[in-house]
Amino acid sequence: MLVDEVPDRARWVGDALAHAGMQVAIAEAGRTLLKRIADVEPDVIVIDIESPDRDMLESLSVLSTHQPTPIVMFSEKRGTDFINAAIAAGVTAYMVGEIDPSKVKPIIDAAMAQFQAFQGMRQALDETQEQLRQRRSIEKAKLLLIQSHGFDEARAHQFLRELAMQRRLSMPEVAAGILESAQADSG
Amino acid sequence: MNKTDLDIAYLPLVDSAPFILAEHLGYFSQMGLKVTLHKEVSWALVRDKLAIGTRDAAQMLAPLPAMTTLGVSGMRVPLLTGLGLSKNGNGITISAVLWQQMLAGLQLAEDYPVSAANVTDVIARAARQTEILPRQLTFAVVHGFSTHAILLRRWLRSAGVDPDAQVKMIVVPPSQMVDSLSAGVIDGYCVGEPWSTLAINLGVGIAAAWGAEVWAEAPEKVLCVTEQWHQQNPATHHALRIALMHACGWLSRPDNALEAAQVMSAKQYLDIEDSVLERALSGHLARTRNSAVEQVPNFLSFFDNQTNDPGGDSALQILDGCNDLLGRSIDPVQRHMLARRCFRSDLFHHTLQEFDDSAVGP
Repeated sequence: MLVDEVPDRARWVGDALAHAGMQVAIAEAGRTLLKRIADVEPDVIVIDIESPDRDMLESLSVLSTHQPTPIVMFSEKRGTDFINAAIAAGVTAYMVGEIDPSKVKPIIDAAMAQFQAFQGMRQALDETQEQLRQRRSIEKAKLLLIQSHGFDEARAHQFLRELAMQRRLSMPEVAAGILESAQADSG
Repeated sequence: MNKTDLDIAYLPLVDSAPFILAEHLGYFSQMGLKVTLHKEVSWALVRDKLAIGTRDAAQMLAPLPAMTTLGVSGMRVPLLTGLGLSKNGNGITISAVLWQQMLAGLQLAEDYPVSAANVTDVIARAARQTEILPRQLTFAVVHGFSTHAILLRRWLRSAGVDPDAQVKMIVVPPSQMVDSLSAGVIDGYCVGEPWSTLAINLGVGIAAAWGAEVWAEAPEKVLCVTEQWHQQNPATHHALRIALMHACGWLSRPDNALEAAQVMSAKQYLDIEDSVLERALSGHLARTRNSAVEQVPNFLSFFDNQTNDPGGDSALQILDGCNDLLGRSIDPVQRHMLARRCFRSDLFHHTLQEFDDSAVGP
Protein backbone atom coordinates (compact mmCIF):
# COMPACT_ATOMS: atom_id res chain seq x y z
CA MET A 1 0.00 0.00 0.00
CA LEU A 2 1.32 3.40 -0.99
CA VAL A 3 0.48 6.34 1.30
CA ASP A 4 1.08 9.73 -0.26
CA GLU A 5 -0.50 13.18 0.03
CA VAL A 6 0.65 14.21 -3.44
CA PRO A 7 -1.74 12.57 -5.92
CA ASP A 8 0.46 12.95 -9.02
CA ARG A 9 3.48 11.50 -7.28
CA ALA A 10 1.37 8.66 -5.85
CA ARG A 11 0.12 7.75 -9.31
CA TRP A 12 3.59 7.86 -10.78
CA VAL A 13 5.20 5.77 -8.03
CA GLY A 14 2.19 3.44 -7.99
CA ASP A 15 2.57 2.82 -11.73
CA ALA A 16 6.27 2.12 -11.27
CA LEU A 17 5.55 -0.41 -8.51
CA ALA A 18 2.76 -2.05 -10.52
CA HIS A 19 5.13 -2.27 -13.46
CA ALA A 20 7.53 -4.20 -11.22
CA GLY A 21 4.81 -6.81 -10.75
CA MET A 22 3.30 -5.59 -7.47
CA GLN A 23 -0.35 -5.17 -6.65
CA VAL A 24 -0.62 -1.56 -5.45
CA ALA A 25 -3.32 0.16 -3.37
CA ILE A 26 -2.97 3.93 -3.04
CA ALA A 27 -4.20 5.45 0.23
CA GLU A 28 -4.64 8.99 1.41
CA ALA A 29 -2.73 10.10 4.48
CA GLY A 30 -4.68 11.17 7.55
CA ARG A 31 -8.01 10.28 9.09
CA THR A 32 -9.12 7.53 6.71
CA LEU A 33 -5.77 5.72 6.62
CA LEU A 34 -6.39 3.39 9.56
CA LYS A 35 -9.62 2.08 8.08
CA ARG A 36 -8.02 1.62 4.66
CA ILE A 37 -5.23 -0.47 6.20
CA ALA A 38 -7.79 -2.63 7.99
CA ASP A 39 -9.71 -3.11 4.73
CA VAL A 40 -6.74 -3.76 2.44
CA GLU A 41 -4.47 -5.66 4.88
CA PRO A 42 -1.33 -4.81 2.88
CA ASP A 43 1.85 -6.94 2.91
CA VAL A 44 3.96 -3.81 3.08
CA ILE A 45 3.30 -0.09 3.52
CA VAL A 46 5.27 2.55 1.61
CA ILE A 47 5.14 6.03 3.17
CA ASP A 48 6.93 9.40 3.17
CA ILE A 49 9.59 9.41 5.90
CA GLU A 50 8.35 12.89 6.93
CA SER A 51 4.69 11.85 7.26
CA PRO A 52 2.89 12.59 10.58
CA ASP A 53 1.17 9.20 10.19
CA ARG A 54 4.34 7.25 10.98
CA ASP A 55 3.66 7.08 14.73
CA MET A 56 0.26 5.60 13.99
CA LEU A 57 1.76 2.98 11.66
CA GLU A 58 4.43 1.96 14.16
CA SER A 59 1.90 1.69 16.97
CA LEU A 60 -0.40 -0.63 15.04
CA SER A 61 1.34 -3.76 16.22
CA VAL A 62 1.46 -2.58 19.84
CA LEU A 63 -2.05 -1.31 20.36
CA SER A 64 -4.15 -3.66 18.34
CA THR A 65 -4.43 -7.13 16.98
CA HIS A 66 -3.28 -5.96 13.55
CA GLN A 67 -0.60 -8.10 12.03
CA PRO A 68 2.65 -6.11 12.26
CA THR A 69 3.42 -4.80 8.78
CA PRO A 70 6.81 -3.88 7.32
CA ILE A 71 7.16 -0.22 6.41
CA VAL A 72 9.28 1.23 3.61
CA MET A 73 10.04 4.92 3.65
CA PHE A 74 10.57 7.25 0.74
CA SER A 75 11.84 10.80 0.66
CA GLU A 76 11.91 13.51 -1.96
CA LYS A 77 14.45 15.68 -0.19
CA ARG A 78 17.63 15.89 -2.14
CA GLY A 79 20.90 17.39 -1.11
CA THR A 80 20.75 15.95 2.39
CA ASP A 81 22.55 12.87 3.58
CA PHE A 82 19.61 11.88 5.69
CA ILE A 83 18.18 9.16 3.46
CA ASN A 84 21.59 7.68 2.75
CA ALA A 85 22.42 7.63 6.46
CA ALA A 86 18.99 6.16 7.17
CA ILE A 87 19.61 3.34 4.71
CA ALA A 88 23.04 2.76 6.25
CA ALA A 89 21.40 2.53 9.69
CA GLY A 90 19.01 -0.15 8.48
CA VAL A 91 15.94 1.94 7.69
CA THR A 92 14.58 0.68 4.40
CA ALA A 93 14.12 3.74 2.27
CA TYR A 94 14.56 5.12 -1.21
CA MET A 95 14.62 8.48 -2.89
CA VAL A 96 11.54 9.25 -4.97
CA GLY A 97 13.47 10.86 -7.81
CA GLU A 98 15.53 7.74 -8.22
CA ILE A 99 12.63 5.39 -8.41
CA ASP A 100 12.84 2.94 -11.23
CA PRO A 101 11.00 -0.36 -11.19
CA SER A 102 14.14 -2.47 -11.19
CA LYS A 103 15.43 -0.67 -8.07
CA VAL A 104 12.30 -0.44 -5.96
CA LYS A 105 11.37 -4.10 -6.03
CA PRO A 106 14.62 -5.21 -4.35
CA ILE A 107 14.20 -2.47 -1.69
CA ILE A 108 10.73 -3.67 -0.84
CA ASP A 109 11.83 -7.31 -0.84
CA ALA A 110 14.72 -6.37 1.46
CA ALA A 111 12.35 -4.52 3.79
CA MET A 112 10.08 -7.54 4.07
CA ALA A 113 13.00 -9.89 4.67
CA GLN A 114 14.52 -7.57 7.29
CA PHE A 115 11.16 -7.20 8.99
CA GLN A 116 10.67 -10.95 9.20
CA ALA A 117 14.17 -11.34 10.64
CA PHE A 118 13.35 -8.70 13.25
CA GLN A 119 10.06 -10.38 14.16
CA GLY A 120 11.95 -13.68 14.46
CA MET A 121 14.48 -12.04 16.77
CA ARG A 122 11.72 -10.64 18.96
CA GLN A 123 10.08 -14.00 19.22
CA ALA A 124 13.40 -15.67 20.04
CA LEU A 125 13.98 -13.07 22.76
CA ASP A 126 10.57 -13.77 24.25
CA GLU A 127 11.27 -17.49 24.20
CA THR A 128 14.63 -17.06 25.93
CA GLN A 129 13.00 -14.97 28.61
CA GLU A 130 10.32 -17.56 29.08
CA GLN A 131 12.94 -20.30 29.45
CA LEU A 132 14.80 -18.19 32.01
CA ARG A 133 11.61 -17.63 33.95
CA GLN A 134 10.84 -21.35 33.92
CA ARG A 135 14.32 -22.28 35.07
CA ARG A 136 14.06 -19.77 37.89
CA SER A 137 10.72 -21.16 39.09
CA ILE A 138 12.17 -24.69 39.10
CA GLU A 139 15.10 -23.48 41.22
CA LYS A 140 12.72 -21.71 43.60
CA ALA A 141 10.50 -24.79 43.94
CA LYS A 142 13.55 -26.92 44.67
CA LEU A 143 14.69 -24.47 47.34
CA LEU A 144 11.24 -24.63 48.90
CA LEU A 145 11.37 -28.45 49.00
CA ILE A 146 14.87 -28.38 50.49
CA GLN A 147 13.70 -26.00 53.21
CA SER A 148 10.34 -27.62 54.00
CA HIS A 149 11.16 -31.32 53.51
CA GLY A 150 14.84 -31.40 54.33
CA PHE A 151 15.60 -32.75 50.82
CA ASP A 152 18.99 -32.33 49.27
CA GLU A 153 19.23 -30.81 45.76
CA ALA A 154 19.23 -34.14 43.90
CA ARG A 155 16.26 -35.46 45.90
CA ALA A 156 14.31 -32.22 45.26
CA HIS A 157 14.99 -32.54 41.54
CA GLN A 158 13.90 -36.19 41.54
CA PHE A 159 10.75 -35.30 43.46
CA LEU A 160 9.78 -32.66 40.92
CA ARG A 161 10.47 -35.00 38.03
CA GLU A 162 8.41 -37.82 39.50
CA LEU A 163 5.52 -35.50 40.24
CA ALA A 164 5.69 -34.21 36.67
CA MET A 165 5.57 -37.72 35.26
CA GLN A 166 2.71 -38.78 37.53
CA ARG A 167 0.60 -35.80 36.62
CA ARG A 168 1.67 -35.66 32.97
CA LEU A 169 2.85 -32.08 33.36
CA SER A 170 6.09 -30.34 32.48
CA MET A 171 8.68 -29.58 35.17
CA PRO A 172 8.04 -25.81 35.00
CA GLU A 173 4.29 -26.39 35.38
CA VAL A 174 4.83 -28.56 38.47
CA ALA A 175 7.25 -25.98 39.89
CA ALA A 176 4.75 -23.18 39.31
CA GLY A 177 2.05 -25.26 41.04
CA ILE A 178 4.23 -25.84 44.09
CA LEU A 179 5.11 -22.16 44.33
CA GLU A 180 1.48 -21.12 43.99
CA SER A 181 0.24 -23.47 46.70
CA ALA A 182 3.09 -22.37 49.00
CA GLN A 183 2.08 -18.76 48.44
CA ALA A 184 -1.56 -19.62 49.14
CA ASP A 185 -0.52 -21.34 52.43
CA SER A 186 1.51 -18.39 53.61
CA GLY A 187 -0.95 -15.75 52.43
CA MET B 1 34.08 20.76 25.97
CA ASN B 2 33.25 18.23 23.27
CA LYS B 3 30.78 19.20 20.55
CA THR B 4 29.28 22.71 20.76
CA ASP B 5 27.17 23.07 17.59
CA LEU B 6 24.01 21.14 18.28
CA ASP B 7 20.95 20.18 16.25
CA ILE B 8 17.98 19.48 18.51
CA ALA B 9 14.62 18.01 17.50
CA TYR B 10 11.26 18.83 19.06
CA LEU B 11 7.57 18.46 18.27
CA PRO B 12 5.50 21.67 18.32
CA LEU B 13 3.67 21.07 21.63
CA VAL B 14 3.05 23.17 24.74
CA ASP B 15 5.61 21.15 26.68
CA SER B 16 8.38 21.88 24.18
CA ALA B 17 8.57 25.19 26.10
CA PRO B 18 11.96 24.43 27.77
CA PHE B 19 13.71 24.17 24.37
CA ILE B 20 12.03 27.22 22.88
CA LEU B 21 12.54 29.40 25.95
CA ALA B 22 16.15 28.28 26.46
CA GLU B 23 16.80 29.50 22.94
CA HIS B 24 14.78 32.69 23.36
CA LEU B 25 16.35 33.60 26.72
CA GLY B 26 19.87 32.83 25.48
CA TYR B 27 20.53 30.03 27.99
CA PHE B 28 22.10 27.75 25.38
CA SER B 29 24.62 30.36 24.30
CA GLN B 30 25.37 31.29 27.91
CA MET B 31 26.42 27.66 28.39
CA GLY B 32 28.69 27.90 25.35
CA LEU B 33 26.34 26.00 23.04
CA LYS B 34 25.22 26.95 19.56
CA VAL B 35 21.86 25.24 19.21
CA THR B 36 19.63 24.93 16.15
CA LEU B 37 16.09 23.77 16.98
CA HIS B 38 14.30 21.61 14.40
CA LYS B 39 10.52 21.24 14.38
CA GLU B 40 9.61 17.62 13.47
CA VAL B 41 6.35 15.85 12.59
CA SER B 42 6.53 12.45 14.33
CA TRP B 43 8.30 10.71 17.22
CA ALA B 44 9.34 7.97 14.81
CA LEU B 45 11.19 10.54 12.69
CA VAL B 46 12.79 12.12 15.79
CA ARG B 47 14.05 8.69 16.86
CA ASP B 48 15.39 7.89 13.37
CA LYS B 49 17.25 11.19 13.20
CA LEU B 50 18.78 10.64 16.66
CA ALA B 51 19.82 7.12 15.71
CA ILE B 52 21.37 8.28 12.45
CA GLY B 53 23.10 11.22 14.08
CA THR B 54 21.44 14.00 12.07
CA ARG B 55 20.18 15.27 15.45
CA ASP B 56 22.29 15.46 18.61
CA ALA B 57 19.48 15.54 21.15
CA ALA B 58 15.70 15.61 21.19
CA GLN B 59 12.55 16.08 23.16
CA MET B 60 11.02 12.63 23.71
CA LEU B 61 8.04 10.89 25.28
CA ALA B 62 9.14 9.55 28.68
CA PRO B 63 8.59 5.83 27.87
CA LEU B 64 10.38 5.92 24.50
CA PRO B 65 14.09 5.84 25.48
CA ALA B 66 13.57 2.56 27.36
CA MET B 67 11.16 1.06 24.82
CA THR B 68 13.49 1.92 21.92
CA THR B 69 16.44 0.43 23.84
CA LEU B 70 14.34 -2.69 24.34
CA GLY B 71 13.51 -2.70 20.63
CA VAL B 72 9.74 -2.98 20.89
CA SER B 73 9.00 0.31 19.16
CA GLY B 74 10.30 0.57 15.60
CA MET B 75 14.06 0.18 15.50
CA ARG B 76 16.29 -0.96 18.37
CA VAL B 77 18.68 1.82 19.47
CA PRO B 78 20.13 2.40 22.95
CA LEU B 79 18.71 5.76 24.06
CA LEU B 80 18.88 7.44 27.44
CA THR B 81 17.64 10.46 29.35
CA GLY B 82 19.45 12.39 32.06
CA LEU B 83 16.80 15.07 32.51
CA GLY B 84 13.02 15.13 32.79
CA LEU B 85 11.55 18.24 31.15
CA SER B 86 7.91 18.18 32.16
CA LYS B 87 5.34 16.42 34.28
CA ASN B 88 1.60 16.07 33.59
CA GLY B 89 -0.06 18.52 31.18
CA ASN B 90 -2.49 16.08 29.58
CA GLY B 91 -6.24 15.89 29.39
CA ILE B 92 -8.75 13.15 28.64
CA THR B 93 -11.52 14.41 26.40
CA ILE B 94 -14.71 12.55 25.53
CA SER B 95 -17.15 13.51 22.82
CA ALA B 96 -20.06 15.73 23.80
CA VAL B 97 -22.36 13.39 21.87
CA LEU B 98 -21.29 10.37 23.94
CA TRP B 99 -21.70 12.38 27.14
CA GLN B 100 -25.27 13.44 26.26
CA GLN B 101 -26.10 9.88 25.17
CA MET B 102 -24.98 8.53 28.56
CA LEU B 103 -26.82 11.25 30.49
CA ALA B 104 -30.04 10.55 28.58
CA GLY B 105 -29.65 6.81 29.11
CA LEU B 106 -29.23 7.29 32.84
CA GLN B 107 -32.08 9.83 32.93
CA LEU B 108 -29.85 12.63 34.13
CA ALA B 109 -30.28 16.28 33.18
CA GLU B 110 -28.54 17.59 30.07
CA ASP B 111 -26.63 20.08 32.20
CA TYR B 112 -25.47 17.49 34.75
CA PRO B 113 -22.29 19.05 36.19
CA VAL B 114 -19.04 17.93 34.54
CA SER B 115 -16.33 17.02 37.06
CA ALA B 116 -13.71 14.26 37.08
CA ALA B 117 -15.70 12.31 39.68
CA ASN B 118 -19.05 12.76 37.92
CA VAL B 119 -17.70 11.68 34.53
CA THR B 120 -16.11 8.45 35.82
CA ASP B 121 -19.29 7.73 37.78
CA VAL B 122 -21.53 8.23 34.74
CA ILE B 123 -19.27 6.07 32.55
CA ALA B 124 -19.12 3.33 35.19
CA ARG B 125 -22.93 3.25 35.39
CA ALA B 126 -23.43 3.47 31.62
CA ALA B 127 -20.85 0.75 30.91
CA ARG B 128 -22.85 -1.74 32.94
CA GLN B 129 -25.93 -1.26 30.76
CA THR B 130 -25.52 -2.44 27.19
CA GLU B 131 -28.60 -0.52 26.05
CA ILE B 132 -26.83 2.74 26.96
CA LEU B 133 -23.38 1.80 25.61
CA PRO B 134 -24.15 -0.83 23.00
CA ARG B 135 -20.80 -0.77 21.20
CA GLN B 136 -17.09 -0.86 21.83
CA LEU B 137 -15.72 2.64 22.39
CA THR B 138 -12.76 3.96 20.38
CA PHE B 139 -10.15 6.12 22.11
CA ALA B 140 -7.08 7.72 20.58
CA VAL B 141 -3.63 8.54 21.91
CA VAL B 142 -0.73 10.17 20.09
CA HIS B 143 1.70 7.27 20.40
CA GLY B 144 1.57 3.63 21.44
CA PHE B 145 4.30 4.13 24.03
CA SER B 146 3.30 7.36 25.73
CA THR B 147 2.29 8.60 29.13
CA HIS B 148 -1.06 9.29 27.45
CA ALA B 149 -1.66 5.62 26.73
CA ILE B 150 -0.75 4.57 30.28
CA LEU B 151 -2.89 7.37 31.73
CA LEU B 152 -5.88 6.51 29.57
CA ARG B 153 -5.78 2.85 30.60
CA ARG B 154 -5.61 3.85 34.30
CA TRP B 155 -8.54 6.20 33.88
CA LEU B 156 -10.69 3.64 32.01
CA ARG B 157 -10.10 1.11 34.78
CA SER B 158 -11.02 3.73 37.41
CA ALA B 159 -14.34 4.09 35.57
CA GLY B 160 -14.85 0.32 35.64
CA VAL B 161 -14.10 -0.10 31.94
CA ASP B 162 -11.77 -2.86 30.73
CA PRO B 163 -9.30 -1.10 28.39
CA ASP B 164 -8.68 -4.29 26.39
CA ALA B 165 -12.14 -5.82 26.09
CA GLN B 166 -14.39 -2.77 26.02
CA VAL B 167 -12.24 -0.23 24.22
CA LYS B 168 -10.41 -0.03 20.93
CA MET B 169 -7.32 2.12 21.21
CA ILE B 170 -5.82 3.78 18.15
CA VAL B 171 -3.08 6.29 17.43
CA VAL B 172 -3.95 9.61 15.79
CA PRO B 173 -1.59 12.59 15.30
CA PRO B 174 -2.49 15.44 17.73
CA SER B 175 -3.53 17.78 14.94
CA GLN B 176 -6.19 15.30 13.75
CA MET B 177 -7.73 14.66 17.20
CA VAL B 178 -10.42 17.36 17.24
CA ASP B 179 -11.42 16.62 13.66
CA SER B 180 -11.68 12.86 14.35
CA LEU B 181 -13.76 13.51 17.48
CA SER B 182 -16.23 15.79 15.75
CA ALA B 183 -16.55 13.34 12.83
CA GLY B 184 -17.41 10.57 15.29
CA VAL B 185 -14.41 8.44 14.26
CA ILE B 186 -13.32 8.36 17.93
CA ASP B 187 -15.24 8.70 21.22
CA GLY B 188 -12.42 10.31 23.15
CA TYR B 189 -8.69 10.86 23.45
CA CYS B 190 -5.85 11.58 25.79
CA VAL B 191 -3.42 14.26 24.63
CA GLY B 192 -1.53 17.37 25.77
CA GLU B 193 -2.93 20.86 25.50
CA PRO B 194 -4.23 22.73 23.54
CA TRP B 195 -6.02 19.79 21.91
CA SER B 196 -8.51 19.29 24.77
CA THR B 197 -9.31 22.98 24.99
CA LEU B 198 -9.79 23.30 21.23
CA ALA B 199 -12.44 20.52 21.24
CA ILE B 200 -14.09 22.01 24.34
CA ASN B 201 -14.23 25.51 22.81
CA LEU B 202 -15.92 24.08 19.71
CA GLY B 203 -18.43 22.26 21.90
CA VAL B 204 -17.58 18.84 20.42
CA GLY B 205 -15.87 17.54 23.56
CA ILE B 206 -15.85 17.77 27.35
CA ALA B 207 -12.91 17.33 29.71
CA ALA B 208 -13.41 13.95 31.37
CA ALA B 209 -10.32 14.37 33.54
CA TRP B 210 -7.08 16.33 33.64
CA GLY B 211 -3.99 14.14 33.76
CA ALA B 212 -2.98 15.06 37.32
CA GLU B 213 -6.42 13.96 38.55
CA VAL B 214 -5.66 10.42 37.36
CA TRP B 215 -1.89 10.18 37.94
CA ALA B 216 -0.55 12.95 40.19
CA GLU B 217 3.12 12.76 39.21
CA ALA B 218 3.20 11.52 35.62
CA PRO B 219 6.54 11.96 33.81
CA GLU B 220 5.82 13.42 30.39
CA LYS B 221 8.67 14.67 28.17
CA VAL B 222 12.39 14.06 28.63
CA LEU B 223 15.66 15.19 27.05
CA CYS B 224 16.84 12.22 25.00
CA VAL B 225 20.19 11.34 23.40
CA THR B 226 21.68 8.09 22.16
CA GLU B 227 23.90 6.21 24.57
CA GLN B 228 26.72 6.55 22.06
CA TRP B 229 26.31 10.33 21.76
CA HIS B 230 26.37 10.68 25.54
CA GLN B 231 29.59 8.66 25.78
CA GLN B 232 31.21 10.85 23.12
CA ASN B 233 29.95 14.19 24.45
CA PRO B 234 29.47 13.96 28.23
CA ALA B 235 30.44 17.60 28.89
CA THR B 236 28.15 18.94 26.14
CA HIS B 237 25.32 16.82 27.46
CA HIS B 238 25.92 18.24 30.92
CA ALA B 239 25.93 21.86 29.65
CA LEU B 240 22.75 21.19 27.68
CA ARG B 241 21.01 19.84 30.79
CA ILE B 242 22.01 22.91 32.81
CA ALA B 243 20.71 25.30 30.11
CA LEU B 244 17.39 23.43 29.89
CA MET B 245 17.02 23.29 33.68
CA HIS B 246 17.34 27.06 33.82
CA ALA B 247 14.59 27.33 31.21
CA CYS B 248 12.46 24.94 33.30
CA GLY B 249 13.06 27.10 36.38
CA TRP B 250 12.09 30.25 34.47
CA LEU B 251 8.90 28.55 33.21
CA SER B 252 7.93 27.52 36.74
CA ARG B 253 7.35 31.17 37.71
CA PRO B 254 3.66 31.99 37.08
CA ASP B 255 4.47 35.57 36.03
CA ASN B 256 6.35 34.24 33.02
CA ALA B 257 3.47 32.26 31.49
CA LEU B 258 2.27 35.13 29.31
CA GLU B 259 5.72 35.90 27.90
CA ALA B 260 6.33 32.19 27.25
CA ALA B 261 3.01 31.93 25.43
CA GLN B 262 3.84 34.96 23.28
CA VAL B 263 7.24 33.56 22.32
CA MET B 264 5.90 30.08 21.56
CA SER B 265 2.96 31.30 19.48
CA ALA B 266 5.32 32.49 16.71
CA LYS B 267 4.96 30.82 13.32
CA GLN B 268 8.44 29.27 13.50
CA TYR B 269 7.48 27.48 16.74
CA LEU B 270 3.89 26.38 17.51
CA ASP B 271 1.90 28.80 15.35
CA ILE B 272 -1.03 28.70 17.80
CA GLU B 273 -2.83 31.67 19.37
CA ASP B 274 -0.97 32.86 22.49
CA SER B 275 -4.10 33.10 24.68
CA VAL B 276 -4.70 29.35 24.21
CA LEU B 277 -1.07 28.57 25.05
CA GLU B 278 -1.13 30.77 28.13
CA ARG B 279 -4.10 28.89 29.54
CA ALA B 280 -2.28 25.58 29.14
CA LEU B 281 0.99 26.90 30.58
CA SER B 282 -0.75 28.39 33.61
CA GLY B 283 -3.29 25.57 34.05
CA HIS B 284 -6.35 27.81 33.64
CA LEU B 285 -8.81 25.49 31.95
CA ALA B 286 -12.51 24.93 31.48
CA ARG B 287 -14.17 21.50 31.43
CA THR B 288 -16.98 22.40 29.02
CA ARG B 289 -17.75 25.23 26.63
CA ASN B 290 -20.19 26.72 29.14
CA SER B 291 -18.30 26.19 32.38
CA ALA B 292 -16.02 28.69 34.06
CA VAL B 293 -12.24 28.63 33.71
CA GLU B 294 -10.69 27.16 36.86
CA GLN B 295 -7.13 26.77 38.08
CA VAL B 296 -6.25 23.07 37.73
CA PRO B 297 -3.77 22.20 40.49
CA ASN B 298 -0.49 20.69 39.30
CA PHE B 299 -1.70 20.75 35.68
CA LEU B 300 1.74 21.06 34.07
CA SER B 301 5.10 21.29 35.88
CA PHE B 302 8.52 22.03 34.48
CA PHE B 303 10.62 22.39 37.59
CA ASP B 304 10.97 20.31 40.75
CA ASN B 305 12.97 17.18 41.60
CA GLN B 306 9.99 14.96 40.84
CA THR B 307 9.87 16.44 37.33
CA ASN B 308 13.54 16.79 36.47
CA ASP B 309 14.94 13.57 37.96
CA PRO B 310 14.17 10.96 35.29
CA GLY B 311 14.98 8.01 37.54
CA GLY B 312 13.71 6.54 40.77
CA ASP B 313 10.11 5.74 41.36
CA SER B 314 8.79 7.55 38.30
CA ALA B 315 11.01 5.45 36.00
CA LEU B 316 9.62 2.26 37.54
CA GLN B 317 6.08 3.55 37.16
CA ILE B 318 6.74 4.21 33.48
CA LEU B 319 8.17 0.71 33.00
CA ASP B 320 5.20 -0.85 34.79
CA GLY B 321 2.88 1.21 32.61
CA CYS B 322 4.72 -0.16 29.56
CA ASN B 323 4.13 -3.71 30.84
CA ASP B 324 0.46 -2.87 30.78
CA LEU B 325 0.73 -1.56 27.19
CA LEU B 326 2.72 -4.55 25.99
CA GLY B 327 0.31 -6.96 27.64
CA ARG B 328 3.22 -8.91 29.05
CA SER B 329 5.73 -8.39 31.81
CA ILE B 330 9.21 -7.17 31.06
CA ASP B 331 11.59 -9.63 32.73
CA PRO B 332 12.53 -8.35 36.24
CA VAL B 333 16.25 -8.43 35.44
CA GLN B 334 15.64 -6.48 32.24
CA ARG B 335 13.36 -4.02 34.05
CA HIS B 336 16.15 -3.28 36.51
CA MET B 337 18.66 -2.92 33.67
CA LEU B 338 16.38 -0.57 31.68
CA ALA B 339 15.69 1.57 34.75
CA ARG B 340 19.40 2.10 35.35
CA ARG B 341 20.55 2.33 31.78
CA CYS B 342 17.87 4.56 30.23
CA PHE B 343 16.62 6.73 33.14
CA ARG B 344 19.89 8.25 34.32
CA SER B 345 19.25 9.67 37.76
CA ASP B 346 23.02 9.95 38.24
CA LEU B 347 23.30 12.42 35.34
CA PHE B 348 20.48 14.50 36.78
CA HIS B 349 22.18 14.67 40.19
CA HIS B 350 25.43 15.65 38.52
CA THR B 351 23.55 18.51 36.82
CA LEU B 352 21.83 19.51 40.04
CA GLN B 353 25.16 19.85 41.89
CA GLU B 354 26.37 22.50 39.49
CA PHE B 355 23.02 24.02 38.61
CA ASP B 356 22.87 26.58 41.44
CA ASP B 357 26.40 27.79 40.81
CA SER B 358 26.02 28.15 37.06
CA ALA B 359 25.90 31.81 36.17
CA VAL B 360 22.94 31.83 33.83
CA GLY B 361 20.15 34.35 33.99
CA PRO B 362 17.76 36.27 31.82
